[in-house]
Amino acid sequence: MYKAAMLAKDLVAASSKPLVLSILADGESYGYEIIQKVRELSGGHIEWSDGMLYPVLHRLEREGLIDSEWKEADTGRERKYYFISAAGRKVLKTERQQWLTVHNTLGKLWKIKPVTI
Amino acid sequence: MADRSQHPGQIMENQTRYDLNAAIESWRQELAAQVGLTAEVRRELETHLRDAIASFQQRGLNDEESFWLACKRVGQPPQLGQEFVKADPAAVWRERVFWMTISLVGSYVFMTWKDLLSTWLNPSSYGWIECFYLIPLFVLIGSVVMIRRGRVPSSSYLESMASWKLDCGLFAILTVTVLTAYFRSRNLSSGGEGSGGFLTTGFNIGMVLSWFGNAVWPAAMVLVLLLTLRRNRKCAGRRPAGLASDR
Repeated sequence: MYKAAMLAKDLVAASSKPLVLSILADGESYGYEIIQKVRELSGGHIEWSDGMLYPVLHRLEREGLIDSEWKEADTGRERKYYFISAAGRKVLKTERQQWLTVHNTLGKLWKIKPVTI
Repeated sequence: MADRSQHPGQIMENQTRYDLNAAIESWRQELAAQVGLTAEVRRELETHLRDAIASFQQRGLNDEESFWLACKRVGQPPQLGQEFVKADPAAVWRERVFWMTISLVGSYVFMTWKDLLSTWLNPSSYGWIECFYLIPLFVLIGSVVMIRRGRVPSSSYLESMASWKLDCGLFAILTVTVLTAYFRSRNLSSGGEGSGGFLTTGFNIGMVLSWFGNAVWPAAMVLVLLLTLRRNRKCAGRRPAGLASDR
């Protein structure tokens, strides 16, 4: 049975931005939850090291694409929640178009049905 | 069944129970020793570690196993530090400039008030007054120890302090300090000769330059301080409309 391989390091790094922005576009989240979501959605094929996520989140925050806020969770422990900014939504739209362009180009080559934007 | 708790094996087990809090504290200290990690980042990573530990515990692992696996997932502190330095090399210098500026402003305020205190107190007691000189040294050593141990206020605390209260407070302290130094140097504060002459004697260019000489560099330090704080300030109020509500 075919088993998808783990993603190459470069591809993991390149996809981190659209992945984080897409997750946050659905609602605010925190580091641990984002990693769990990526692991779950990719079926375990995209494996982020936990420590690697935070530099990415902080970079996106410096770029003004996401914002953050410390809030008390249900457990009583404080967590830093991230949420997407208006600028982040715009960048996500562009990223989405670019990734779908790549996807559709490869799709044509591999005879896969194209995805509309 | 009650006497089972008295079993020597169980007593031994209880005595050698893994101290999860001590392990986390040790991990936290190792993290605090890394250059590239600010207090806020360390706090965030610790939250992540605790989440991971809780997750493993829910799966039935004991404290030691949970901690070990969570550490493995989050990464070793030196590795984490390197990742953050790579991502934002300037952050290290921002934090250094912040603390250097704090020290400079603090030492300026201290040196000015030390002179005043030594005048107000009995001049014959200058021997022990000199001990004041040691205070900045103790403050410096204390600050270094606190920073190394990660006991400095968290970044969010500093951010909340970096409000108008801090801005006004710093401005007021420096203004009072500079003006006091100025009046003292002109012998106008003690009500002695020349008192009330602030306006009548007028300013000459030497006085003005001297005043600016005293005022400009601490003001510049405060400006740098505020800029480093504002650089790190988060925009909690900029949440766009239409986002999911709080969980």
